[in-house]
Amino acid sequence: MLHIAKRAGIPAWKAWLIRGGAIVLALIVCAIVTMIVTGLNPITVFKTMFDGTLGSSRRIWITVYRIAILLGISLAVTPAFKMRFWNIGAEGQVLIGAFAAAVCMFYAGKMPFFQNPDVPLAVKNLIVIPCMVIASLLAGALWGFLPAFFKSRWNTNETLFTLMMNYVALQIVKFMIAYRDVKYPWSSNGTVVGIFNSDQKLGAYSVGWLPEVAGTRYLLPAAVIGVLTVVLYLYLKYSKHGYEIAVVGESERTAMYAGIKVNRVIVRTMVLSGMICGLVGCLLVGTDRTLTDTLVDGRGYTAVMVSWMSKFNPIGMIFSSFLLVFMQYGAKEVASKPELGLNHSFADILTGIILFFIIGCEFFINYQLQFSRSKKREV
Amino acid sequence: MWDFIISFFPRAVMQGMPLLYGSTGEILTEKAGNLNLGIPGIMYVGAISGVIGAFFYEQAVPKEQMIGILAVLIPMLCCLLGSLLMGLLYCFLTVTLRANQNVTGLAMTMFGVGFGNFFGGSLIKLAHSEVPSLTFATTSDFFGDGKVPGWLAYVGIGIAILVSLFLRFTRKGMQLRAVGENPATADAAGINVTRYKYVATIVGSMIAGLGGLYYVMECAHGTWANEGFGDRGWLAIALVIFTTWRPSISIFASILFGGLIILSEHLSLPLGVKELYKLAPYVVTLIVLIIVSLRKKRENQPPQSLGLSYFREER
Repeated sequence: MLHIAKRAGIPAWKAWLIRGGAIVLALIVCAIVTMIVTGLNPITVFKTMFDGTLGSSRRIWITVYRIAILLGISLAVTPAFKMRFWNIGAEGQVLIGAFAAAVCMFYAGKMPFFQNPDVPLAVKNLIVIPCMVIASLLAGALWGFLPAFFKSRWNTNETLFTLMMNYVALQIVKFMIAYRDVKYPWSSNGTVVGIFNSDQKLGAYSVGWLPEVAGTRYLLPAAVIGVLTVVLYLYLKYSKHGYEIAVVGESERTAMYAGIKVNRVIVRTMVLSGMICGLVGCLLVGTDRTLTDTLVDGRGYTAVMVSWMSKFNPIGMIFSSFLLVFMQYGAKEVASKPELGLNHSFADILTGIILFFIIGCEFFINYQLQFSRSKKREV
Repeated sequence: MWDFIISFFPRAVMQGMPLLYGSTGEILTEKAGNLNLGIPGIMYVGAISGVIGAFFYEQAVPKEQMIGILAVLIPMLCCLLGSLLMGLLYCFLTVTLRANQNVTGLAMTMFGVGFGNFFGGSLIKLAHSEVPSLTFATTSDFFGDGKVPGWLAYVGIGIAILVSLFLRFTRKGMQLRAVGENPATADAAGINVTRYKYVATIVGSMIAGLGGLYYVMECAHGTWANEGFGDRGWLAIALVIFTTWRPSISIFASILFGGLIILSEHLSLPLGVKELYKLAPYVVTLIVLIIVSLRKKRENQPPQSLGLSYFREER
């Protein structure tokens, strides 16, 4: 007879060994699926993925940037998750933050002050970029505040609430892209917004673009997220707030009896969550210098999984983000090669397989299977 | 005005039916305590499985020799099988392995949408078609003429009524609800929690999968285009909340949502305003969600253990 029992605890190295094993197993399954579906040698496919993500210094930078963005969103959802607040609205929170930043960037470029070529760019950016950051923080905070407020007051289901908010944000962005404002239309054809402030002849050229550091525009966002990782790790582990979040997550009643104001913790944490998402949105817009409705590209949902599969550990999230970015964009690289005959959705299939394995392996970390031997004696 | 209604209503029904299938499936699943956020993915898988079936049947048999019953049954069985496997996967992960339901559901959506678009893309390549879409005019004619809702729409309404009656009046239905409300109590009363969760979720997935097939065969009149299905899966989940977990209300609500979807095509709005207008279903759902939680009427609440895994020894 098979019997399932909950483990009292498992050494950390053993847990990570199980997760590592699951990932290796998942990669093998991915290789087999690739072989069956395409008839290609999986080594060739993995090599193409490797080249596509880490093949040249430019590609490495883009990969680092993508990891940073995914990591940033994962960090943002983590405090809420630790509190067992199922915020799946990161997609919308990032997008609305990006939208707020884009609004600042776009309309600043239309103001006479910023069009004046005599004012140095540094001065203009010193005004615009803080505005963008503040606007995106506020927008993200609002998107985090609403579900938290209703959850804490009336126990409104937060998963469904945040899910709907994603689409509210998406439609607002689509509206802005498609809307043909008579004076300043965002796009010439109603579907694509070009690079903001990209006309070199105008004084507003490159206003609001995040500065390039060391010759690449990807370093600054990566550095910001790096700092954020450390700060959030310390916040969750050593601050009073982090402790309160952990207690509320374990048991709301316990928290209440311990004199923690649960409602306040929920709202505060979600506002923080939303603000970090908004900041990531600002980084996206400042680095990509444009706004599209696919800017976040499902990463708000991927981040939920990154955060969860790293057990809310910011350091673990670096590795998980790397793995998922490598698989997703690597597979997209494979798909972009016409001679291999795949389309880009193949990336989602591979990522899905890996996720299923990682999700499944948690069972073997939390539970153990016992084979009872007592049956034999009876016979 | 009358002409407008005559032309508008059937199209609203046709747009609403995929949502009805999706929401009926999700309601059945949620009543067993499983919050299956994989529904959008499952609907994609259901749609593409049906499309694959239809594709190979159309390839194998010349147009004149196609038999109606086979042309309908093959895609339907493929669709049911595809969504059954997805439901099984979800159950295995969340019920047997007790994984987090939100995470599993999101992963399934990602996988399912990828699966649909990938095989859709492959079929388009196989068919050497010049436009990025596939057409099954012959097969879809067996489903309906694409102007008024075909028989599959009535099946959808029938299923919704049946599920509604099942949950409300049968012993099994009440036991299912008990599992969703409080699995520990249900377990103590001798109900096999695992079996109920498995069956409800798998049947729910199959119903939702049919919604995907309905979309391809009727709304799109036999045309598969990647991403064509869009975010209807999430709208179906929104509909579950909107109807406060009642498939019978969902029949009308889905037609209302369907109407909201296509009304923008009938109204001559400026391009941007149209996008803003598409907010309506989501905002309305949000408002309903808030009102329901404000009023705290017991029969309108989500199942109490929604989203939680059950482990007997952890009571």
